[in-house]
Amino acid sequence: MNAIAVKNSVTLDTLYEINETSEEQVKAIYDRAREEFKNLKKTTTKERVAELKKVRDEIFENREIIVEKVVQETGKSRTDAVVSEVMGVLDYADWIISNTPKILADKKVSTPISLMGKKSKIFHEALGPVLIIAPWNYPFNIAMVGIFTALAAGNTVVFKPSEVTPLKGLIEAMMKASPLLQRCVTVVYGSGSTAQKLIDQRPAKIFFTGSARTGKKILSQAANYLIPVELELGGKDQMVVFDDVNIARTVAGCLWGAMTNAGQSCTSVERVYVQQGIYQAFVSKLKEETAKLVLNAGDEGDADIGGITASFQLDIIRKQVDEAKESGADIIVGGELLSDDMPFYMPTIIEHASTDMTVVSDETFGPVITISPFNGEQEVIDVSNNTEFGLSASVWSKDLKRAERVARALEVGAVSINNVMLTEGNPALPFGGTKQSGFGRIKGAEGLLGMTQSKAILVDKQSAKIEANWYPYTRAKYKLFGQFIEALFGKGLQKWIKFAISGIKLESESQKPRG
Amino acid sequence: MADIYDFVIIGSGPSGAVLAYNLSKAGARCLMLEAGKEFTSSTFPANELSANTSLMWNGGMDTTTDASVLFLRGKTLGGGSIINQCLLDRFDDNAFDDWRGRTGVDFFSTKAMSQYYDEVESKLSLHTMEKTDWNRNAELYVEGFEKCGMDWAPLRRGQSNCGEGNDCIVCLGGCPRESKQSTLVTYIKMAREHGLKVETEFNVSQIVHGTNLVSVFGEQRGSTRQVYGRRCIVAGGALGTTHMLLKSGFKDKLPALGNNFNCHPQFMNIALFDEIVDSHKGAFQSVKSQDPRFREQGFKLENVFAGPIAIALLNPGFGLDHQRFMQKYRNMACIEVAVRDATAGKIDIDRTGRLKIKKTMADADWQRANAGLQVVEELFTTLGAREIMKSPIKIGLHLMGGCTLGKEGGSSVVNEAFQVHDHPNLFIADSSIFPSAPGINPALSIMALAQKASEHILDECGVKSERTKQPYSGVEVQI
Repeated sequence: MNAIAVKNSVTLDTLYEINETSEEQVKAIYDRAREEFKNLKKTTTKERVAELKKVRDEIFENREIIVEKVVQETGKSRTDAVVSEVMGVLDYADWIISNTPKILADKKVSTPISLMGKKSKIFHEALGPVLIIAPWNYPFNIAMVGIFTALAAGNTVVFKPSEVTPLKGLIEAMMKASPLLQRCVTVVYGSGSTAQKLIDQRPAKIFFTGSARTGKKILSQAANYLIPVELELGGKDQMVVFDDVNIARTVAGCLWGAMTNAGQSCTSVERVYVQQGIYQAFVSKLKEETAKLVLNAGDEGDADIGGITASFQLDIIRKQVDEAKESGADIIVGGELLSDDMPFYMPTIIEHASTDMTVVSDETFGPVITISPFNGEQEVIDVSNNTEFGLSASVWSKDLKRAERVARALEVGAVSINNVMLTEGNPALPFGGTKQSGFGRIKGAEGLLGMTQSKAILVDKQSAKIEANWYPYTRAKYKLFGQFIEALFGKGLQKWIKFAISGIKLESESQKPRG
Repeated sequence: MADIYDFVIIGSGPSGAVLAYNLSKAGARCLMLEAGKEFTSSTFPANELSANTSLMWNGGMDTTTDASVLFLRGKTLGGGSIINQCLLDRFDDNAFDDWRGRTGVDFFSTKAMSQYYDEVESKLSLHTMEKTDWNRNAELYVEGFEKCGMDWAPLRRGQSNCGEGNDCIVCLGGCPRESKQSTLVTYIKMAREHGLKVETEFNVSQIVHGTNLVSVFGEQRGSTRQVYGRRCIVAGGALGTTHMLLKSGFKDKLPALGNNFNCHPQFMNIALFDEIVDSHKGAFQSVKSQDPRFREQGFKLENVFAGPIAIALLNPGFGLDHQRFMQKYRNMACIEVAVRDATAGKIDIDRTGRLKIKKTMADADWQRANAGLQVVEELFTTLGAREIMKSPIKIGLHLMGGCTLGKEGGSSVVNEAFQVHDHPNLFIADSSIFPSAPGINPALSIMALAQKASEHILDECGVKSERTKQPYSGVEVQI
């Protein structure tokens, strides 16, 4: 069994080792998950959210420990860690705890007049053991959002964290607050090969957050078993800035959107389009403010930009920027590592980058933006939609009608207007992408429902009555159906009278035996 | 573009300069940051007023919150060593025993420190003032001491060649002859030869300590600047260093930060004589008190004087009376009482980040001051002074403490390896680490401690100046 070293991403010291999980172990994990699912299925949503509340409280109590562990493994700045990994999780936990009973309550739906006397409803049922595979950029947040949602819906969970940031033991420790739910969540450590074994055991559904490349692999493996998959993949998010904005605030938003978590967010701003009239002023303010950003990790909360968590990601960032430089783009700020022996990439602004450069076509996932001017609304819509990604975007303008018009035209799953990366700040809003950014939604009612399957229920009364459309079929019934259709779907004021007459006739005809 | 160094050294006085030299010489890439400007012997300000405003923090007008003590601290490349008299005495057993007693730190002893004193002294030109150096003020001082049966001694000063016909009072505003052994002409000069980079007019507003990196954020000539060091040495003196740490929020983890602030409050006493004394001429300071009774009582008497602006400031009042007083500038002799203060003050910041210094004289301190003042009165009376003016204003020289060195994190800020508790990449070895007031001019001892700190820092961190470019690792992107 191969040991995988988990490193402090800043010092590169090995913190501990994890091992791949064997096929036998994986099988046993699923056996247990299926067994526990039977028990969990018997609980009501109210009972489950009461248990989730205990876990939520445990997270609240241990927030500093969580921040510490996340910082150690990711190298992110302390404030990034507390805001996204603690505050974000608590915010979502509170939302799911208070909204699950409502969203998952049996839903009555209307019954058409042709089915008069019957009742219809939908049950939102749990799926079974679901497999959640999480990335390294928000290792606690993405884990807990997925786990909370799955448990709220009544599923048991097999969770595989990234081998880069497994946070070994942390999730298990939080789950201990609820013995019931603790049994329903198994954290499985390992790399891609472990993930493959986990898929082979046919989870009820797979929720993957990560790169498009891995997403495709998972989807094709899952296709063999017809396992439904939701994919939250990368982005190349655009920020569209019209010339009627407050420059200082928009620049501040741009920097945060681009640099938070050192740009290692799938919804990081990566491409900035600024309307010609304010382009120069915007760029110079952006340069001025970038100089104020403090890089560090292991801080007490004062550092703005932390480290790049995964060394392979640092390679991608360096490669993209270096190639852009060689191909004639202008690096106006940054463009290099702070020091070759530390994972801190300088906040970087690139001008004159073109679509044939990877820094424009591929996801960068680092503290890097390209910036370019545009003239008109349609132009920026076309140019910024010209990407295979479609996760989220932001539109900045005083003219809210225009902003909304542009928001509708952008081929993405979320748009913040006059703010940035904020749709994910509201747990009630769905989160997910279009195009190569994946499909399916997490968070919001849609996200919760995505962890369930809908069961349709129609209730009729017990009686001796034979339905009109049941056998036997007769010529008389055929004629009456004709009149009935004409009455029900035709035009004219007398249709309801005709409907009633044909309905009564049809019903009485239906009670007669053949011949 | 990326400003990263092995060591960022904030401050260029006796501590920062010695560390900069030793670390640069060992091969480390060092950057020295200084809030003030750089002057040379030929560009130092020509008069007292512009010297105060160009070379000192807040024009030499930092005060306690109750405005009872005035603090002078250097803000120029070379720091305090530019505006002091460069009196270079070692601490005695009395001083070190007190420190050892307070902290339990063994190297606080004349024996353990002598190696480090030797090392810094070997880099400095030292001169023991001779009788031929005396001006009339010094002669009167000695005359009084001998008549009253008190012990005095010649001063030892850092100077190379003051030459002839100089009026050394001007070198309080920067020595124009490159003689005074300020760090500018000694350690900084030597450190630069070993590659030290110096940036002046860099005002540090925040130090951000990280796992293996320290970010130093500030402002330089109107622009935001930040530099990065694998380690950072804060050497801004008691007020400067403590202020920077307080502003950076270190108090959260270092409860003792700002405590234990000491200074040697100085009371200038001016006596008017019928004769022309011309205390401002010739060598400014030549002799000192060496009476064991004074040391026991916690004061010493300084043979000093001051420029006309400072003297005018010391005498309250205005108008004709004041003018008449100042007209007698040439008739003034001066002996100053320097108190070894026993009551520690506290350095804090207000909500806007400004320094808030609390330093009151308690009974014990007044006892010491009054004992000294009584002796001065006796001396001047014996010498036949026409009038004696005791200054109501205390000048706080030799600012010490705020980041006390000690073994326990709860009661001190810096450990025995000069490392800030819980902040392995941050070091302090300036006067802010002093556990109490030694009652002796501290410059040489600050340098000796910085010398010792250099040794610890090099042991602890080594020199990380190798920068090898990592190739792309080419690892497959995995789940």
